[in-house]
Amino acid sequence: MSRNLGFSRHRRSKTCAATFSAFEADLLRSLAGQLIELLRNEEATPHTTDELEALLDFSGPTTEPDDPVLARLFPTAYPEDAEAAADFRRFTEASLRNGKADAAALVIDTLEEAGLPDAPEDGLYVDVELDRESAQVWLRAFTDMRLAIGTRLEVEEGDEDFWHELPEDDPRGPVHDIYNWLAFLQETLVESLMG
Amino acid sequence: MTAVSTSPVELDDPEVDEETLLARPWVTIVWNDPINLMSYVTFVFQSYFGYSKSKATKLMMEVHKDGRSVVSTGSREEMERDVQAMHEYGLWATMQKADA
Repeated sequence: MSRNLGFSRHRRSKTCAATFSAFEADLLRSLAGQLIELLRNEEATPHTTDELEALLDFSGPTTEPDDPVLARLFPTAYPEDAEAAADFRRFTEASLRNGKADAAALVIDTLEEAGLPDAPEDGLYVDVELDRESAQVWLRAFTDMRLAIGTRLEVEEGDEDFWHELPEDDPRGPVHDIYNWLAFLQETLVESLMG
Repeated sequence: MTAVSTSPVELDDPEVDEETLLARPWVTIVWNDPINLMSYVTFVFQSYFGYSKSKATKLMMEVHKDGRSVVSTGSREEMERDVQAMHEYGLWATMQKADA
């Protein structure tokens, strides 16, 4: 993964471009796919014991998701007002979930349109070019992937030493490498978008 | 640090409607998190709120150093829109009454 230079700005076409190896492109597709699965996994429906209420109120969930990743992706908007928080969630969470799933789906579509096959072979490279609009969507997808992985890994501010000193056989090591790689991609995409 | 004019001033009849006064006591707060990139948070403040690079950077640094920053002020409805947008961008945002 060290050869990847991240995104850079094409002056003439004003697009943000990056070249991914088959392995990297496949990894991104898989992460985006996992994110979509997670977003659709825990159903965005109300948790209520009242049968009639459950039948009538199909507009959205009112309680914080059980999964810590989903709880991070959909924070409680009113920390000190449970009722307002429930209403906010009911009216926003479903569309936020869809928006995030759509963003991840766009990453997959872009990679596949750029030539990523179902079973890529070594030696294949995928050139991705993003216009301003899709670059913004990719940025959001990178964020959600990093929030998901970072929450699972329980990363904390200033914990670089911890990860650096992790024993080589710790399964979290390679996951944290991917987390850092996503940060690198996101950073270069922000730079090429703002530059 | 504002300039004050000394020429005579005639005040128009105040036409402040109650709605306006009551409609602005809410704030959107963005909280620090260990995951989001500083560059990305700045980018979000610039592109969503239309803030200048320096204002966006200042707010981002407040989030980073103080743990939180008020990023917008307005009616409850406006703040709900902003909080939802921040969640769309993956930022950890909440809202509350301005004086709370």
